[in-house]
Amino acid sequence: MIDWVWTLDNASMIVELTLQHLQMVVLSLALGTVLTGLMLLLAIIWPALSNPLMTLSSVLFTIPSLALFILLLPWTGLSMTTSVIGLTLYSLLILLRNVLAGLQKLPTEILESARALGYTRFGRFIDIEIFLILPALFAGLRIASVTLVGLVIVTALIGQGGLGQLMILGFNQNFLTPIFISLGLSLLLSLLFDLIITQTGYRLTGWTR
Amino acid sequence: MIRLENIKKTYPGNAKHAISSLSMTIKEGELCTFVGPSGCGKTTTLRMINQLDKPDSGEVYIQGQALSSADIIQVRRKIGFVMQSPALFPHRSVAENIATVPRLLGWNKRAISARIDELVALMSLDPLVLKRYPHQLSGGQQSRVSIARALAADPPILLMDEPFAAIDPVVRDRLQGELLALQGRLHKTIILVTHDINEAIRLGDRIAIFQQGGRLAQFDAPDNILAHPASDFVRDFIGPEPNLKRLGMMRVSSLPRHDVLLLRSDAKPVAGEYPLLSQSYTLVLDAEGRPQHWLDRGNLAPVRIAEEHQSLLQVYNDLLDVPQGLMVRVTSLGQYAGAIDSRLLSDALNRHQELTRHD
Repeated sequence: MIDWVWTLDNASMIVELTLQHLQMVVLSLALGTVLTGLMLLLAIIWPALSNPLMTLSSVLFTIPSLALFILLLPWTGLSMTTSVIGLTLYSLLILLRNVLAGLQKLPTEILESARALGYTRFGRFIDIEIFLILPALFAGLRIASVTLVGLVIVTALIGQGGLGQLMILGFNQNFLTPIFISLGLSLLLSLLFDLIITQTGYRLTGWTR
Repeated sequence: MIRLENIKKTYPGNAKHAISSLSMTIKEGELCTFVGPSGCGKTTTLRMINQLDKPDSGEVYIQGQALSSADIIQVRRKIGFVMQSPALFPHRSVAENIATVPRLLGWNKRAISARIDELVALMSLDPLVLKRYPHQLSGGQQSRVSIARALAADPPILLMDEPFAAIDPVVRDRLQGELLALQGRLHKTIILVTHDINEAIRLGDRIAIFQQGGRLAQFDAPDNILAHPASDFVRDFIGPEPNLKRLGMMRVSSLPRHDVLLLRSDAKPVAGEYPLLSQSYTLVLDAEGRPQHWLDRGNLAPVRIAEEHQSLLQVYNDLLDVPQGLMVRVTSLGQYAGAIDSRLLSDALNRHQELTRHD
């Protein structure tokens, strides 16, 4: 079923595409996390923003991914930038929804006691809220990473795509081996991300156990 | 120390004043309890003292400083606050929770850890809990940590918003006792909000009874409130047995000494120097001066004793089924130290003295 000779002959390309895939996911996830942090800060400074942000991220999330990439083409062309911008947006939407929901569920008596003890608003954010939001953030990161591993494949249609390239190759040549390899490696990548994020989250939120 | 002047507060969407016009002064070093039905404004008033809520008009002064023109973050760091739920920071160990305010104030590590050790001893916490996270502690332990956290930077003022309301009665009773012992040593200015009149009476040097709309129905020492309720509202609120509550606040040691006829074990009468309560019974003492039994026209009858630290309510309860109508006071060594009858208890209520508190 799998043509191992072809696989070995193209090993260096497969490795390169896998690394490219990995790179795009990590980059988008990192950018998305930073942007989420900024948005979160905005939502904390202006709590009235929290609900509109929530709605906006729900609406943007319904835009089909391919459409989003194509919408970006006039500005950034068929480049890595285009795909990273799109992917970052998706990770932002997923993370922001999780984190905002987490923010709204923070126990008021704990925030109130921080206030009563003499925390400034910013001090409370840095010392208390960020930590209490971590479980929600890591839940978001797990969903976002798995979603992104899948979405990167779509960017093959605009000339990027990491493992998605293999898939297109397979379709074009009616050749199953690259499709299976692409599937298998994406699956492995997803599991890898999930494992790393879960482990990191577990270490950082020891207080929940 | 803490002065509130013409405080007014209305909540949006509520036509009635939460607090219509409140002025009161809390003295330095007193433990003042705020009590009243729910919605009477007692908690709102407490929260205005560290500006968790701001008054619509009026001013709060702390040590002469008007809060409207003060740096409220700095003021809050000098006021301990204990909430109804312990509200400890779940992601911080117990030690880190206690260290919160000293850290905000920029104390160095050594000073902070020395202070944590002091507080652990003060609040009778097990040092082993310091490394644990709050959710690994029992409710009573969490409450102690919450009080330790409030006291960490040694603030002159401690505000407590129903701190024992969510705790089971046995632990609550113990924590109330500990708070009184603590206050006996620290002499902070403490305001404690409660909805439980018995807690207010037990803990308060003075009690502020609040009525709907944040009006002060009465603000006085517990004994004065129980003896002279200012209105029907207060009378209803303190309940149907104010005299029993007053007896509950007094100790045997506060009674003036009275004697009965005494007989030593060698059958020699002992002359008592204090007024005699009864001529009908004679108390027989052993060689060490400990009461043995009553001598009632040749019959022996057992003796009921009361120790100096017992409350008069307990003594009254025991007196109700003592045939002689007399109880014998004893020292901590069990030696005779006078006698009590119910008339002495009535006198104590009528004397209506300022009480020294011994809890």
